[in-house]
Amino acid sequence: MHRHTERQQRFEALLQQHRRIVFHVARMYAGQGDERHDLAQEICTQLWRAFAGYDAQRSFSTWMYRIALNVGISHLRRESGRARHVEPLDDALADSVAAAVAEAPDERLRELRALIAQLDPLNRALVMLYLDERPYAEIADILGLSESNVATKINRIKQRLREQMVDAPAPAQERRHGTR
Amino acid sequence: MELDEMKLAWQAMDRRLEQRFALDLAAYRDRRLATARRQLWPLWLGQVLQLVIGIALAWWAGSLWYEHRATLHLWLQGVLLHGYALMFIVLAARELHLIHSVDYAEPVLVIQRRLAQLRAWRIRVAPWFGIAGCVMWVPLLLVGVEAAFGADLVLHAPQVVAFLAANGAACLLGLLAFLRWTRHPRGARLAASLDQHAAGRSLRRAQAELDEILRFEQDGG
Repeated sequence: MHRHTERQQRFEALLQQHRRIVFHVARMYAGQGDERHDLAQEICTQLWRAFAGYDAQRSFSTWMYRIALNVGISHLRRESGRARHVEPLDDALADSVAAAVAEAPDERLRELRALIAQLDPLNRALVMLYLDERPYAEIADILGLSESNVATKINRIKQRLREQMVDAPAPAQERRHGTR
Repeated sequence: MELDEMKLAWQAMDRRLEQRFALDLAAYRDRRLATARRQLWPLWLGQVLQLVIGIALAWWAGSLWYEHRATLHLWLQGVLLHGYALMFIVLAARELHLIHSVDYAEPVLVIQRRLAQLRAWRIRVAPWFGIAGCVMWVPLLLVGVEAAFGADLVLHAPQVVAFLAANGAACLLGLLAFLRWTRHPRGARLAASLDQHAAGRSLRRAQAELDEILRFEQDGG
């Protein structure tokens, strides 16, 4: 009983420390409101169930990312059968963040949302890990790829973005000020 | 916008999220929630029920053919039912093994491939129950009548048995022909009109997931 309480406390401490992983995955693979909340809870539940098998010698964030992504991707595949459109960003939240941070205008968040919505579940995981600034070696470990494969895929996504930017219409601000 | 620029937007959103959202740590402790939310729970429960039914049927059918081992047709009915029960048990056991081998702490590609394979396998196996069912209702009915009324239809009403067997054979042939036709190019329209059928759509989706995983793995590798 005492050991169980200790384990629970250790788990909760680690979960709090790395809670942003849960937020990111839930945001990436669920719609808004209740669905996102439900997915976050499901991730926490699976993490707790798997915690007994966690090897403390290994990185907790890597272990946590694997479980969270597996749960998130499985959730998205299950929900995709119901032809639901997944919005990875909340409009109100995106606007409030954009208002608070000068270097992240609305256009950037909308472009981020548009990019993520285009991606299949596995590439979505790759982009998320890259945006979270995980090293390539860790991304490879989480996904089960080689490091060189990770680097090649990220470069391809970057290239695709550049090509899309060439074809994209000028942002509203630049059109208003005649800078394009 | 370059991917590197997106990091700024992503990190900005991060800071606000941490301020606005708290993690409900209490929810994961609820065992009932853990059970209900387990993604493979409905599948697991279904297979456990199939296993239990299979074991019960095997026990009953086994005692049946043993008891009637001196009477060929009764012995044969028991053996057929026993074989059917073993099919239930073997397939359920295999699926339970696949479900228990899913460890979300393994790399993402490993688990997603395993889940897609599990789904595809289940859907491929499903017609076998239909095929076996076309035939197995006959011995099941004969054994049921014998148990309920003490009437051995094979001895006392062979024409009835012949009629039932003919129906079973017709059902089997019809199902086999149908399955074959849907795979033929001329059956494409029928297959397309059956697109609403859950099994067909699910299989295509499961196979598409496997293809996507393979492409992701190989692309750039």
